[in-house]
Amino acid sequence: MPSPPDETKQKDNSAGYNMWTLPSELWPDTELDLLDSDELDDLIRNLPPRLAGDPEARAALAEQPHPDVMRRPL
Amino acid sequence: MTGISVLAFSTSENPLRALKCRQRIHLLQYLKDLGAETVVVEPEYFDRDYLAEFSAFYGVSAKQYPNTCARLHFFSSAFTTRELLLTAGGDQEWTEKLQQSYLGFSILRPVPYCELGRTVLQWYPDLTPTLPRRTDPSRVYRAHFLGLELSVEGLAWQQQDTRVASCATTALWSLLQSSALDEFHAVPSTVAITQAAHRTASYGARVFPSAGLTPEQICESIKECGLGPELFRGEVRMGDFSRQRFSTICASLIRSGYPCVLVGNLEGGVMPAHASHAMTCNGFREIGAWSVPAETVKFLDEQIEYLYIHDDNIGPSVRFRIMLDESDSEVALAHSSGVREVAASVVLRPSRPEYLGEQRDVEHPAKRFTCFRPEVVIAALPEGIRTSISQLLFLGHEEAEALLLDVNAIRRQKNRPAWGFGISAQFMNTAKYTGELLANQLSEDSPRLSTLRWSLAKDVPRMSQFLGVIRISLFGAPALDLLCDTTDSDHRLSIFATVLFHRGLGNLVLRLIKNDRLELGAVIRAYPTETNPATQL
Repeated sequence: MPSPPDETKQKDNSAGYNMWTLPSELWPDTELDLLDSDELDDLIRNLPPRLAGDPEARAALAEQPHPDVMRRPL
Repeated sequence: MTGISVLAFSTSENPLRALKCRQRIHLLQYLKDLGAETVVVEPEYFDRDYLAEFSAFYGVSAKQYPNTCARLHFFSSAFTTRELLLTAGGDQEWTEKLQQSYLGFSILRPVPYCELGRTVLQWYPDLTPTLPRRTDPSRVYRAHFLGLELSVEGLAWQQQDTRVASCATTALWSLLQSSALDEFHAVPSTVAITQAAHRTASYGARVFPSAGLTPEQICESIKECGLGPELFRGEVRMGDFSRQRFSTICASLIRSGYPCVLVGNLEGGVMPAHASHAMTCNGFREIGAWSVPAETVKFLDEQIEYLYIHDDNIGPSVRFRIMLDESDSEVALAHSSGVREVAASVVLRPSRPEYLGEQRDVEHPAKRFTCFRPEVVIAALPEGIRTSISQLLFLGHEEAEALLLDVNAIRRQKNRPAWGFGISAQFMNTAKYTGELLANQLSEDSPRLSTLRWSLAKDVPRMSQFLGVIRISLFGAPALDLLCDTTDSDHRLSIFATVLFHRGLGNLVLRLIKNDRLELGAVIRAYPTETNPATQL
């Protein structure tokens, strides 16, 4: 098994792959492996209540109302 | 009447060179780039599409058009009539040679200035296989003559013939050839498409000669073919697209196997103002994973650079570069004032691959305009897919963002740098996901592949025929897949199952679900665990 790739190197994407084309042997693993379930549960219990996300980032994908009001489905 | 003839591609007798239409320039260049050496001419050929046009229009013209076409076959090997006769006699060596060097075919209609009918040509060789040209809508076409069967993979293109088919009809005709739609309809002729568009949405216009179709008529025609139309409009000023929305929607559709008709305006060059046009996008070039800023969720495909487009004014598989409109004064003003970000409009420019050299022919049809400004994207999907690709991407962004907030909050507690997620989505036949996609990704780990497939079948027994697959990535690698039900409406889009690929993130997701912070359907681990070296089921 190859060793987990360095995060900085992956950001460079020198191999020229993306999430649909990356061979499975190059998938990274991370230090979160080292946390056991009890420790994770403690950390999760300390999380703040869920906040609303970034609406502007999603706005481009939201369907817009038809510009012609006469053709706008009601 | 002469029979089949074999000609050198470069000779002046090559029938392609005698055509009057501008598109011949692109075809000759394209075939030269592919290394065409020989053209075989079938002088009499009954073409299904032309026969439909003949029946609807040409057959009652006083000009007495013939009802037969010619068919040209192109090869990258050099041979003469002698070798073709050997092949007809069953010579194995030459039969294989012809099949291997087959570049495709083109139908020549007996209609001046609109000669180029159904044309299927091989794609250019793919020089960057790790980031491939995505041509999922392509299909295999088979041509038969002299007892030979020759095959070529592509998507059919043809020149617009305004008597029976406008650019919109021609673009839709190419779209409906997609291999992804094979199970759901028979490919209609251009005549049938034009007639279908007028059946319920004629707006008083005559059917033939065709004066063109509106986006709504294109959608009506798709419905008449038994498919579901999906229409996406631009969201920035004057109905233009932002790069994010346009590129992400086009790439997601093409990955899913569905070409899209792009409706918009040709600008610059010799084009008049408001030169409306429609063409078919049938491919794009994958882009490498790019650095997603920490604390953000970004669509992988918003940075794709190239689309491959069938333009009936130019030819098949024309590469267009996706660019931002630099002349937009409103954007420049907003950016310089720094008050708020204003998204620039996206435009497309023909862009010949650099390694093929510059396009020097001033008569080339791609030089008649400077850019195409898309305003509407239309796709045809099987009726069983009842949700839109934009809603799938929207859901993916919401879920990824919710997960990222928790992940980074935990990483901060452990003094780790924050992460960012990339996302991408596509529709996919369930059999293709569990078969081809998972096999490609876990090809070197048979036990993991086996247990993953077994687990999907056990935990999610009623998956729809098509899945909405949302992939979330970390540092460019797949971290998890969200598998969504496509059989309900956009407002009820739900997640069947989540497949976890990334061990560290997977452990965290499982604890977040256990602590009621996330709801992601059945959760399946596709990585080895301590309790089970193959996988934990």
